[in-house]
Formats: sequence, structure tokens, C-alpha cells
Amino acid sequence: MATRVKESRARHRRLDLSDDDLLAMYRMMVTARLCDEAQFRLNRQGKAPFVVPVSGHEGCQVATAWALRRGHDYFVPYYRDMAVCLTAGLTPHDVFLGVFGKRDDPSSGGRQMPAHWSARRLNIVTGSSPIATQIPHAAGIAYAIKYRGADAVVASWFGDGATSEGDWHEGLNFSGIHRLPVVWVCENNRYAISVPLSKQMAVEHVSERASAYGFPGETVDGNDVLACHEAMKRAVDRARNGDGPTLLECMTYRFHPHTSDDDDRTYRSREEVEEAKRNDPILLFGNHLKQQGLLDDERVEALRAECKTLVDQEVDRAWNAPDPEPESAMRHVFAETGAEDGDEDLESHGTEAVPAEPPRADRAEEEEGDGR
Amino acid sequence: MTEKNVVQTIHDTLQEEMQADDRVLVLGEDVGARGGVFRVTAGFLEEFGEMRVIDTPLAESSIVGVAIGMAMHGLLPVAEIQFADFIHPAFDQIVSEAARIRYRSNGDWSCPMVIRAPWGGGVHGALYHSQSIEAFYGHVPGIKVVVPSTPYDAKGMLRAAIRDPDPVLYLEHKKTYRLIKGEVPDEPYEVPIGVADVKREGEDLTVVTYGLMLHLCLEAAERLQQEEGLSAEVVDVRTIAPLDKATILDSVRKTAKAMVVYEDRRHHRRGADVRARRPHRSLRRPGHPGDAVRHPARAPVHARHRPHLREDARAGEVLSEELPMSDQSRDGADTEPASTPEPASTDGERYQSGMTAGAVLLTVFAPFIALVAALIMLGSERSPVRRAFLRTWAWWSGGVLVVGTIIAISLFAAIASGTNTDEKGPCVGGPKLGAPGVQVGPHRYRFPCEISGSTVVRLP
Repeated sequence: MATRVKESRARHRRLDLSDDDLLAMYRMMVTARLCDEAQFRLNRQGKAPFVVPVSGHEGCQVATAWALRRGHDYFVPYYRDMAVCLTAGLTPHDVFLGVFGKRDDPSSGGRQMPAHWSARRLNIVTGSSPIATQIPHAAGIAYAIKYRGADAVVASWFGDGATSEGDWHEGLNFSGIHRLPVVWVCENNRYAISVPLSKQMAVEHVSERASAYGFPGETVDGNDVLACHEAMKRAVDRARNGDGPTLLECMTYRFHPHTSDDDDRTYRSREEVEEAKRNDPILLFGNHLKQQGLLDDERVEALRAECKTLVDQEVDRAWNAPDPEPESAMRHVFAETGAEDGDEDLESHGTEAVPAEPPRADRAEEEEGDGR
Repeated sequence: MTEKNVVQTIHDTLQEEMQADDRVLVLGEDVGARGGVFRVTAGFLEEFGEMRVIDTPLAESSIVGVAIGMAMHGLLPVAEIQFADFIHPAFDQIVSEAARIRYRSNGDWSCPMVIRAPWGGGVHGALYHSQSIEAFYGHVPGIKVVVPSTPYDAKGMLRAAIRDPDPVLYLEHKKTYRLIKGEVPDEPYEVPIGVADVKREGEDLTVVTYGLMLHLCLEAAERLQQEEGLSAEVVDVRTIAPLDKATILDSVRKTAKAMVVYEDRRHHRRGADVRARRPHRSLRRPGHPGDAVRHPARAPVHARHRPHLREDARAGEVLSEELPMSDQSRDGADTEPASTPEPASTDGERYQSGMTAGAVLLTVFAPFIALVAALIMLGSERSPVRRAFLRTWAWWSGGVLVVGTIIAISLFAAIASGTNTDEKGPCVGGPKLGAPGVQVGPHRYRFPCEISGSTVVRLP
């Protein structure tokens, strides 16, 4: 037994992960899961408009994001990447500011639905709801890094459905041509909302497509935190060393419906979901840490309670945070010059220059005449 | 000062910008060894190297998407779309991404980039190398759309676009590339985005235009001056969005007549928007002979392929032809009534004449009917007079019924065929040509897309 523990400790030490790192990763995963649970609770209370659950993906998200340098490398996530963004430096408080659409929500100040992550200070790149549009952006950022001779790396996360988009192909192709410092991480949960993998692609694995772009692709068990981290670390090292991109496919499962507005009972059986939960990455990673002697049942419970207290506190704090000023909805259409209160033409959504005359009331009439 | 054509000016300006700032780089199809299909980036690959002059794969969405990523990292990319007709695969990247990045991140991220695209007709480009695309993007908050049409503006606006903190769609009319020459200052300068320019001062008519049409209008205005003694003011819009309403309104206030000339369809396009704005209350001067906004002319981009069109057409017709006016009071009760008779054959006129005819009929026949009724009521049962009147009345009423029905049907048909479908635009008129096409002399030409209006201009 002692030898086995030693061997497997050697595994994470070989990956430059200390015992504390493992515990911190575990804590991060638990926090993400608890944020999910709190969001669903708030949704049922009518306080959270919309939830994009992460449950099931925490393992591959934390494991892959952990291989990047916080604040130095670029994180280009998609909407299910709460655990990626927590690893990149967002806090549960930030998450709930977004859930409630509060003024100080770092992602969008309440302009986007929850889970459309962004924070420039953390190099978390703003994303939209259309799928895979972030892929060419990640390639462009990686190109700029290469052009500047910097040693930063870009990682972009996406689901299996995103791989069907033209932008996905175009972005990966561009990154292959220029051997850009980027890692493409597919969180393959076998469903794009309801559409199963078999109707999304004729190949078995997304990673097979990498060869078409001239760089390596690898499929790993997305519920095995150390395996994901190991593969990601290899890919990040390759990117940082100038050896070009890697396509990493993490096989995982989403435990909840696509969003709070989805009903997954219409397209997958309860048995299938229950079966998948036996491979819950938090459960598996917890067991691994117990085997390592880093955790036991009591400490797991204590850690969970600690995280839950923190999450509940953050929910309350965020709920009581100030709402955005209604007038601010028209700000930031274009760069603001001069006055901080914004000078956009409200009636025309900021696309028109404001003429000296006619006066505003007349202009409103005119716009009505436009039939808008 | 150096005399240059438009394409040379864009080349030189881009070259100077790249020399001055290493954040500026170009990417697009064939921009490298080929130097661009219009030679805008000729010699750039040798001067700036592969890293700054990027021959991209043939994939427009990623040309824009990759440029967005570069811009978010702090570079100033100038992306080239080879022909504006091919820009639509990138629609989502332009509209949902570039134009939204600042807004959706609450001002945290920004996307300072330029997308260059050659547009417009007149270069044997037929359908897919001639189209106007500015209206699609001009409606999108968050992106600026500019259309410089002279070498001077091309330089100043390209500098301004590269320095702009937001994405700018920089449209170059490809017919002007080598056709239009002008003096360009050698020193750097900027022409501000969002400011229209009065290219020719005048008193009698305002012509609002951009692109190649600017030059046709200037030529036409000159002829109008010489042949008719009328002076037209020509306003070059220069920026499609944000639109400089103030300059346009000022000019129309001065002349009280406006015409919009552009290369696109009449409805739902940028010129239509300009048009819809102008008949504002503050502009209407009761009693002014030209108290109406005239319908727009447009140039048939396909005319290059139809030589008879070119031969038959005259540029001067754009301005000198007596264009029909529209029903200006359609847009609301607050409008002062028109105090001048309008020329026949507009929709409003047809409608009005229909109403008048109805009123006349009623006025003429009502006393007769009343008289007949009175005589019948007054006469005795067996009176031959009454019988005669009854017979006559039957014939009369039958006749009136038949004639009335015929008149009503023909009136209805006239109104229906002449009814302008653009109910939103308060001031739209012009002869309805039925199916898309144009009548020139005895010939009728159909076009693959809707082209409205009746005026044909000669392409140089």
C-alpha cells in the first residue's frame, strides 16, 4: 500500500503539482459544483434568471486551466466554463454578480446572460452566445503573441457541438498554418443540447480532426483530473516552446440539462445520467486524494461545509450589490470620449451622430416615423 | 501635394501607417506576393515581411475573427475582404463580435480594427462583384462604416480609421480606384469619421450621395448649372454610420429640396434611411415651390452589360428630369397641408383624383336621383308621367350602377397599381414600374434584382 501511494504521489509531483495544489484543485472543483447548486436553487426561487450548469465538467476544466499562468496566459472560454474562470481568477462573488446582473459584474455589468465570462485584468476574453466564434479570436490573440515574441499561451475551451461550426475549422486551420501558441480544449459531453455525438460527426473522436490541421490531437478521460492536467501541460509546453497548437479532447458528461431552460428527459434516460454520475470527477478525484492520505471523509465534509458557507455568503453579498443604472445600458457602444455619462444617441442605439438640432422630442417622433 | 488616384492613395497611406507603427499589419486573401487583387498592398511583403503581411486562407469569417483577436491583444489589424460581395461569411464576426465586444464587456475589452472592402458597380463585375453592402453593416451599433470617394478623403479617413478605438468598415468604391484622381497632401492628416462634406455649394437643390455617384452627381450638377442655370448642392455623406444628420439637414433647410443618389435598391437601404429622415417638420416651408423631397435616382450597376442603357442615358437626367413628387402629407396630422399643386401621376395625385371623381359623380347625380324620387312620390298611381319617370328611372339607375361599377373598378385598379408599398417612408414617390426593370425609350429592361425609380445615368 505504501509503495502504491508513493508511486501515485510521484505522478503528481512529476507534473509539478504539490499536495497543496491537489487540495486547492479539489476545493476549486467543489466550489464550482456548489455555485451550480446555489444557482439552481436561486433559479427556482425566481432570483436567478438563467443557469448554465457546469456540473460534471469541473474535473477537466480545473485540470486544464490549472496548467496556464494566471494573468499571463489567455483564457478564451465558452459559457459552461465557470470552473475554468474560477481557476483563472474570477471569484464566486463575481459569478453571482453575473447571475444577478449586477452593476459590478466583471463579465458584462449585467449586459449579457449569466455565464458569458470576461475579465480583461485576468486575460479572460469576452465571449458571446453564438457558438465557436471565439475560436478565430483565440487564433488572433495567439498570432499577436507570436508576432510580439511573447511567451504567453492561449487556451480556448468549447463543447463537442462547436466543432461543427465553420469558425471552428477556420480558427484551427489558421493556428496550424502559423504554428501558433494555442491549445484547443474540447469538453466532449456527448451532447450539443439534445443532439448526440453520432449526429454531430462521423468520426468517433474530435481529436482525430487535428491531423487535418497539421498538429497533434489527443483524447483523455475528462473525469481523470491528473490525466487531463498531464495532457494539458504537455500541450501548453509545446505551445510555449513554439511547437504549435494541440487539440485536446476531454471526454466528460454534463449532469444537468443544457441550461435551466432545458429538459434533458426529452433526449436522454435517467439511467444514463445516473450511470455517468458514478464517474463524477469530484468523487473520483476525492477518492484519489483519500488514497494519497491527503483527505479523509471528515475532511471532505469539513471542506465542503467551508465552501458552502463561502458560496452562501457570496450569494448574499452579490444579491445586495447595487444594480446597474438604467441609463448605463446605452454606454460603451463606442469608445467614450470626454464626459463619463456617455453621449450616445439613445433613440438610434448609438449609431448616429447627435445633431445640434432638431431637439430631442422631434427626433423621437422622426424615429417613430421610421417605423422602428 | 501630389496628384494620385484613389487606389494609389490607399496604398501609400497604408504603407505610411505601417512604417510609422508596428502594431499595424494587414491580412487577407492575396495581399502578400500578389499585393492584393487591386494592388493596394503591392510591395508590402518585401517591405514588411510575412509576419505583417499575412496571406490568409480563403475564409472570410476567420480573416475578421483573427483580426478581432489581434485587436484584443493590442495590435491594429487592417483586414482586407477581397470584394465586398464576399464579406457576408464574416457577418457574424462583424455584427455579433467586433461590433459587440466593447458593449458586451461593459467597456472592458475593445476591438480597434479596420476591415477594408472594395464595393460598387461599373467594373464589368456583374452580380457578385458589384453589390452595395453598406446598408447591412450601417444598421449595426458598434461598428462605423465609412465610404471615402476622393483621394483626399481616402487618405484622411484611412488614417482616422486605423486610429479609431472601435472597428471601422472602410469601403472603397472600386470604380473610383483608378478613375478618380486628386491632389493629396504629402503630410499626414485625418478626415474625421462621422462628418459629411459639402463637395459643391448650391442654392436650388441638395443632392445627398456617396461613392461613385458622388462624381456623377458633381458632373450632373455642373451640367445643370450650365444648361438650366440651376445650382445644386452636393453633399458627400462620407460616413454611412454614424450618419452626419446635421450637415444633411442644414443643406436641405437651405435648399428645401433634396435628392438622394446611391447605387442600391430603393427600400431598406442606407439612402432610404437618409430619405426617410429628411421630410422633418422643421424642414417644411408651406408655400415653397419645392416643398417636397424628391424621389431618389439610382444608377443601374448592370448598365455596363447593357450598352443600349449607356447610350440612351444621360448623366444630366439625374437632376434635370422632372421627377414626380410624392404625397408628402402621408406621415401624420402634424404636417402642414401642401399648398402647391403637385404634378400628375404620383400615387397621392392618383388617389386624390379618384376621390375628386367620386365627389363629382355624387354631386352631379344626386339631384337627378332626388328629382326622380320626388316626381314619383308626387305623381298619381296611373299617371303616365309617373310611369315614364319610373321607366326612365329604372334605365337611369341601371346605367348609373353599371357606369359607377366600371369607374369604381378602374379607380381601384389605378390606385392599387400605383400604391407605393413603402408606407414607412413618409416621402416616397416616383412612377411605379411594376416588375423590377427600367424603361428606356421603347425598350424595357428587367433586372435580376429590384431596381426602382425611372432615371438612368450614364456610367463614365
